[in-house]
Amino acid sequence: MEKFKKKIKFRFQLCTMYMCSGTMLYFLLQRLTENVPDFSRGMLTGLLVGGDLLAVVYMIRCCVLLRDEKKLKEAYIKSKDERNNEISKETMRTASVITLMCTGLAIIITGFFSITVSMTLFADLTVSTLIVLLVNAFYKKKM
Amino acid sequence: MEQFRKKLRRRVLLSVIFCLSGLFIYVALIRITGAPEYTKGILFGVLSGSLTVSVFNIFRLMPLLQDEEKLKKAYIAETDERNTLIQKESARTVLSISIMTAALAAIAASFFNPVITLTLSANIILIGIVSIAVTAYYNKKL
Repeated sequence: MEKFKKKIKFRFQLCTMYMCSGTMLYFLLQRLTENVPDFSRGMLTGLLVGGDLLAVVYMIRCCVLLRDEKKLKEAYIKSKDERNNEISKETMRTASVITLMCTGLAIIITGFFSITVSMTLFADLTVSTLIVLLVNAFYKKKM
Repeated sequence: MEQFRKKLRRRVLLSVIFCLSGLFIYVALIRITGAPEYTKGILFGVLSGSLTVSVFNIFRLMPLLQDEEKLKKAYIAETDERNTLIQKESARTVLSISIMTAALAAIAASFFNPVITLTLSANIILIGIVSIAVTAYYNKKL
């Protein structure tokens, strides 16, 4: 339980670090990229706001857990629950396969309309496949 | 073991059906749609890739059905707890890395081409939707 508490504290610190470094990086990019299209600037702002919002929500959650012993215990039980872990693993496996198949189909379909989109999806699929191979090799060595 | 043999037979049959129907769909698509050269190339690439994999699969599975010892080995490999665990663990990591890579690529691409950024963003959104849907399914099932 004490380990779990430390883990939550560490996550809280990570969120704080992420918010500070994200904001710094944003201002740095804004300065460095003055000739960049408005779309990119807007996207960077959107990403910063989205990321910071998520971090704040997570930090509030961590704060509540650290102050309330009962809720911390509940969260600990939930994180150790075999069923939840199994669901998470099964979900990721199925989601990976479905996403890869959808991307493959999308490559063919978008090929009829836009070469750029099709090529982007093809590159995405290639990178995903490479990641699958590398991670599989890693886990085969590790486990 | 008998169930595993049936499963392998079904896989061989599926591969054969896939080969034949793939060829048929390819010819139909090329004839019906006035696809540009690039799309024709993609279709041909997809077809030849899939056919190669299917034929390889058939040649890999046929000897298993004829040799009892090889069938047993394949059965052990397929039901091996370690292999299943590796697959599950790697799928979890792969999805996280893929999303992060796509997000980074979307940011980088936004400086050059908005279409690429939107495509990658759509891909990330798709992964999110699929994950939510599959989680809901497994929450009910398990």
